[in-house]
Amino acid sequence: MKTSDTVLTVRNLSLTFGRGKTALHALDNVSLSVKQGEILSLVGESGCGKSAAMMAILGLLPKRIAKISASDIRLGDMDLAGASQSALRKIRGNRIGMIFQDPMTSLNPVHTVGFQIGEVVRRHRGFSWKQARQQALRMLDLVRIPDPARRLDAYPHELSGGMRQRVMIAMALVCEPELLIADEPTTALDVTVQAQIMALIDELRTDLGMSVVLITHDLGVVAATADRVAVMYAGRIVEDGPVEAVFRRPSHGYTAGLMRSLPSDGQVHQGRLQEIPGSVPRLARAADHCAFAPRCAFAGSRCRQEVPQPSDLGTGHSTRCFEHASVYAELAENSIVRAWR
Amino acid sequence: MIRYAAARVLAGIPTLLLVSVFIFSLAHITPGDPAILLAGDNATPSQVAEIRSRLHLDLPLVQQFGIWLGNALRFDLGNSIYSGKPVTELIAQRIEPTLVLSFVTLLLTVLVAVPLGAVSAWKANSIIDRISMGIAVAGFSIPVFVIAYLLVYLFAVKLRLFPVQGYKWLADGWIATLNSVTLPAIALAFVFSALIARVTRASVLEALGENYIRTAHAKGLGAPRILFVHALRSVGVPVITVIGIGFATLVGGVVVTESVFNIPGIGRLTVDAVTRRDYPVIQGVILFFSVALIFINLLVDLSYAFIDPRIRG
Repeated sequence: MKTSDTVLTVRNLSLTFGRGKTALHALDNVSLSVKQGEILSLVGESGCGKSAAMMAILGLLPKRIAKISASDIRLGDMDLAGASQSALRKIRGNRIGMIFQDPMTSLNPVHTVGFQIGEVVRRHRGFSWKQARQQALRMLDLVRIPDPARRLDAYPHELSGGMRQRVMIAMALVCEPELLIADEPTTALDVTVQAQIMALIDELRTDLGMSVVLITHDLGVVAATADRVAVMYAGRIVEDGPVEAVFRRPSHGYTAGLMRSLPSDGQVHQGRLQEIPGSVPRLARAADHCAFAPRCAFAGSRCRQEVPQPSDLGTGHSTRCFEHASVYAELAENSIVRAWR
Repeated sequence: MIRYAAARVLAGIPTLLLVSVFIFSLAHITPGDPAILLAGDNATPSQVAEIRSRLHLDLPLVQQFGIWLGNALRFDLGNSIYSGKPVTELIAQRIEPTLVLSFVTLLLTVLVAVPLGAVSAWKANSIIDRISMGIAVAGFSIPVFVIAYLLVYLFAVKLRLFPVQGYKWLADGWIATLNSVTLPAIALAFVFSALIARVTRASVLEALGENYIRTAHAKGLGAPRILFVHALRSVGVPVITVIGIGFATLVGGVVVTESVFNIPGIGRLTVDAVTRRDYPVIQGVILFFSVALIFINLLVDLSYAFIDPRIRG
């Protein structure tokens, strides 16, 4: 892998909130990379550290409570790990755009959408208000908001949910960043609108040649749009690889659990969907064993004693699971694994 | 917008009516017969009766109220018992110092308390926060006349920067006027600021936890812009509300401050009227302050629509 086509590189990112008895270990040696033009999807339950990882990279976590360590965080050839807050401010909104889950509360209710989009180019490009307004207009048009000239002076509460998320996207992309971080961009939206927003993100990625980190817990969205997927559990990346490889050959007890909890398409489901018992543990320290073992149907004694290291399954697919062979065998037998695309 | 404004204006009318009933009753609840009082010690019963009928005191209360209200609407609040001058004229003469003092106080407060509250929220639990909130608590708990005398001692007697007392009229030059109201305005603002700074801090602190502030950070905006353009701007409604409420407490402060600094404003008029039991003047100043407060609350209500687009509807 050449460094030039890698947009984001993260190596051994660890994160702890607070200290002492109330400490919360959020991330443990997370490594990932995003290549030029690709969509990397981060998947996992709430609280597994997906968003925290991205916030940490952007320097959005308050220093007082968040202790971050990493051997390398790199945007293109720029070092983000050692960057000052003011250097990071020049990156945020400029070279890295970010959109969030709830577009109603993520937009400021007392400013017009034109103002909120425009201030980004004013900040990073030094545009005048007039230029910023024109740029905002072009962006609203780009994200396919009907009648953009009129919407420019609209307030967030005057727009629908889908429209607001389009505004968020316009705001994140107004400086044509090389990386877009989309934190559950469709979770708060109607299903039909979800598809439109994902299609829009996918299309803009191609048009603007940017990369996307898509944080989601929706495997359907992952299958439909992502190139690669990283499954996170309790602050660790437990399995990652090309979407097709991971979906064809899920090789971690947790990935298997996620897939089982999905309704299979084209089939009428009988009874309840299968759930994963329990919830993500809150850890004071990094677990000294596989963190998923207590909830895992496949776990053996080894899983409860040591931390599994990544094992390479070929084609860039790797897992941190001692029992990956039996996981796959079981899923194949119950025809959970299907061709997804 | 026009409908909203009209509704707000109409809502002020019942309040005003209630206040005028109260003010009218004031003279009638208080013990003693004003006619006997006015007639003096050696008055004959016929003289008292004459005064009584001249002041309409022989009519039923409701009718008296009607006459009083009708006169009040024509800016006739009767004459001062003490000087015999019309009450409205007395108020008109005294209105300038009070308005100037209130305006300067408001300006000082908004320029100091609001940014102070916002910065305290941004730096919550820091030294800056603790010191400024400590000062706010002090401003809240120390009586205004104590602060006033301290200021006089320090800045007028010791440092000789400002006059000890008195008021220079605007007609004689606005710089002298400003100079003469600076100390009283600081004294008043100190008290007025306390509440506003604390409410600003609380509101901004809450706003800083909102998702749109996270968005502002993600956009790479600088701290001042996030704090003032995004957080503070979005809490305009509670802050303006408390500024409006603060005006009510300011009235009491104005009375005390004008006495301490010997400013010939409405506050002094009030004190003088009360000590002389000059009921028509007392009624007049209470009515004046009530109308002023209702007007300010109306302005506050109307400002909501400008501050928060969601209220415009």
